[in-house]
Amino acid sequence: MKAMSASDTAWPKGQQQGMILSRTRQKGRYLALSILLGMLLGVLVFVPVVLMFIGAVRTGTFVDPSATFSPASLIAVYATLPYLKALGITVGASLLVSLLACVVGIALAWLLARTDLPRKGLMENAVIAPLYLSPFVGALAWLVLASPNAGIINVLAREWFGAVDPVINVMSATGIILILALYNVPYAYMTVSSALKGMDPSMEEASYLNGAGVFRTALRVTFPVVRPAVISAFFFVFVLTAGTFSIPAALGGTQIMPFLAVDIYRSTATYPIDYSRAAAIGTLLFWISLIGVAFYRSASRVASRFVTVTARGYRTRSIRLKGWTTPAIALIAVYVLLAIVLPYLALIYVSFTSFTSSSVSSAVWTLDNFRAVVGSVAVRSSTLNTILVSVLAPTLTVILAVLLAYSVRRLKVRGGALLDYVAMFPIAVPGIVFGTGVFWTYLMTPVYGTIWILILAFVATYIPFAYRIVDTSLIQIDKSLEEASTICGASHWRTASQVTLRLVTPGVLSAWILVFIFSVREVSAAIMLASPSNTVLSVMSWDYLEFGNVQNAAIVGLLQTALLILGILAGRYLFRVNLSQAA
Amino acid sequence: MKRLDNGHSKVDRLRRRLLQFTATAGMASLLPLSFGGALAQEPSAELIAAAKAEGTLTFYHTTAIDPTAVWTRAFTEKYGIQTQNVRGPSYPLFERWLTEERVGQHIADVIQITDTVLIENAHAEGLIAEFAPESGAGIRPAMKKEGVWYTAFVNAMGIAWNTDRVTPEEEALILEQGWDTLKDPRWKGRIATGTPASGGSSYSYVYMFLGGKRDQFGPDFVSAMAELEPQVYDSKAPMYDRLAAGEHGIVDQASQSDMGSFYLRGAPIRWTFPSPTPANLTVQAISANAPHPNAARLFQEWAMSPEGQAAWFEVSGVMSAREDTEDPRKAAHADWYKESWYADPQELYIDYLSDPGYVDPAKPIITEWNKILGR
Repeated sequence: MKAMSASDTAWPKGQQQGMILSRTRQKGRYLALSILLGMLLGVLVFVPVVLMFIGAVRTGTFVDPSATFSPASLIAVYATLPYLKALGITVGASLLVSLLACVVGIALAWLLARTDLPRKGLMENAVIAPLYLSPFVGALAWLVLASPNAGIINVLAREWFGAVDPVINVMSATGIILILALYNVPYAYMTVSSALKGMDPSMEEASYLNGAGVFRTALRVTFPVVRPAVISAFFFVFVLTAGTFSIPAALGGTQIMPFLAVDIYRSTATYPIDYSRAAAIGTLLFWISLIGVAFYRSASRVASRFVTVTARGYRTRSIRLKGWTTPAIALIAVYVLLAIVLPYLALIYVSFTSFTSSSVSSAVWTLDNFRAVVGSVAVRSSTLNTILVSVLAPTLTVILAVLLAYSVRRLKVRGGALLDYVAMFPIAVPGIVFGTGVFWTYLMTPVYGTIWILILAFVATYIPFAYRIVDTSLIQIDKSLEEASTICGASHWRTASQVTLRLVTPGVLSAWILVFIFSVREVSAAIMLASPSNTVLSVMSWDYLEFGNVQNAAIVGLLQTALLILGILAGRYLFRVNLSQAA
Repeated sequence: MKRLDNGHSKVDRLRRRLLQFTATAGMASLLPLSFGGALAQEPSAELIAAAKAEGTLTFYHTTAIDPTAVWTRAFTEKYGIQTQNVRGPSYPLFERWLTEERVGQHIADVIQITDTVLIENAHAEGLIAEFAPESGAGIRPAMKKEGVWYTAFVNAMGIAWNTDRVTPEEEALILEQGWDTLKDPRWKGRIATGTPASGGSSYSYVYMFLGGKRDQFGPDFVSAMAELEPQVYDSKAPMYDRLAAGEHGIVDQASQSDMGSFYLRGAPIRWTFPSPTPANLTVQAISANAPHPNAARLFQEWAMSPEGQAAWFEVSGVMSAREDTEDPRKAAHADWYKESWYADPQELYIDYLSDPGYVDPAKPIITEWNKILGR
């Protein structure tokens, strides 16, 4: 059979282009694009990280006239016992958190994707709702609920059941791990859920046809197929947790459980301010995260092999739970109670009382806090800044992600693998460290002190998420759809805009909403970059918390949630985006 | 039993009289100098006009967000000049300001923090404007460095307790024992404290115990307190919130302004100022490269005037840096001034500001404290 070649002039021009498209590498064809994207990513992502590494070997800040080069911080962090201990505990605790979050996430994902539970849409939204709450505001709520002596749950347990010891104590290592796990479940859920939903059901059908029961099928067929997704979720949560400072800091600091990210925060927030120490710890966290990201990437690459969006339709079979329905709903109800209901009740309680009383019955109720916050000029300008930043940042992030994904996957630009790697890089850098790097990168530029420095930081921080979502969407598209287009004579760009980009639009919108949520909640980088004219709500909330007006911190946290819900609703009804199907 | 003599012993009364005499004598000796200042209560018309032309100023501060906004609003209402308030914790805020100044990003006009040493170091680097507001003449001499920094208000620190968690007998003990309360084993597991690394006021507090009054307290005292296994907070404010909620029985480093605020909100909080009472100065300085230099100077003139100092009392119960202004609550015996358990500090400890141990940039007290507390 005569082999087809690109030089065959018998084919129409559009068709030739289409065939060229589907062949491997075009050397030099899109080199300019590749270089442009590389430079963009380089400035956005690499420069702050490099500055962090340089900062680790200086004795002072970059503009300190008396600063010199010195390995003192590096030696202290990499070779002395207190830091090695903190490293061990950070890694151990993060692994535990990942394990817990994944176990719960897998259970919930399986229940909601494979069984006949009623009102799945509602439950799915409930499961990812913890994303709408800034993590440290959630920790603050839990402090009010479960601090050992004055936590409301413990007080009620004493009064009603005569309990002597606290029922739940969040100011302990166990408590911190549980709260961290609670707020990471949505990530685990979303990853596993999308793998389950995108899985070809014919394998499970074959298993049932051969007589295997539900359990056996789940263990022997479903789980192995989604295992790569589970592993990728595990390491993703691990990396995120290792870099989280807000929850451990809010729940009792390093007195209870040494945590590297908290040490970074303390190095930049309490005396002695030691940026080089902060940077040195940042490099340590960087290596840990890098290892985690390596596992995560290899697992998610394998995972994407099993997912398809095909031109053929299919239906998955729902498993009838029958007697198991009630326990299943109970499980979800307990999760929702712990992750959403109780914390929000606590926040509302705190917002409407003049001081945080452990006895709900004798609390002093007031609207003064609301009046103070609503009347505050700082809060109003923060709200405006938050809206601006969290609309601009996702838009730019998503545009960059689409450019990157399309260049790497479809145009097959030179250096695509490198671009792919660099785009995922920021996950390895904890927000607080990245924030410091961004601070130094743009300090002497006009963007310093404006909302643009925040936008640049957020774009760099969240490009991995957006890129991964768009990339996964692109991979999932059956090539036959695009080939059909080119065979019908469409040009390259026509195929791209009418077929490819349209098919990835749900993914693009999901990415937008996800980055929007993150931008509203983000606190670690924002704290480092806050200035008079770019203060955002998360920074205001942290400021209020730090200065003891827990009431106002709670109200600003609720304000953030309101903003997020508005955004999600807009996404749902205007753009038909269902976030639970993201990632 | 109600203490009719306000809990003052003869020695305390004598000490107070001595202090008052010294202060009055000091003021009297300065009278010729301050006379000119007292006459010119209003800043010059040129300054006001120039400031109004600038129209706004940026104010970096460490004091609470909302009260500070109320305070600066009084300034805005008087002169029509807007203020952009930026709140941050002492050290990071100052570090940020230093960095911005060094690279030429001039944003802040006025800086208000709780650590005079930092300001004097910045002054040595040429970053602080040399300006002596006329109203500064009325500030107590110990509470200013002419031309460099001036005190906005004084915050005394003592011991606070939650009445729901402390019996009346224990309360009587606290009032009687003073600082020795912090060594009493009955408070084991019921006490909280803050790290001196978090800010100027905590540092000043701990400095009294391990530095300036080391012979009276010293590491033995702090070790005894460490035996009580206090919950250590990285920042004082959440500590107060947890005290009000009843998580702890007592806390130290209880500042006048914060405790007053909780009292006014109905929390079951009471506090006392054992002698000597460490006090922290919240001080203000003007940036040498302030983008709005005239507005900044006018602001400082106002902040140091009787009017500006009195405006603080509207938002917070602190002590004024001036002799001629006093908290209207005190005059009216209102709020905590009417309570039997409350007494103003008898012996303020504020003359540590030039101690070599205090100005040492390495702040060795913090290292020592960390070691004793096992951090």
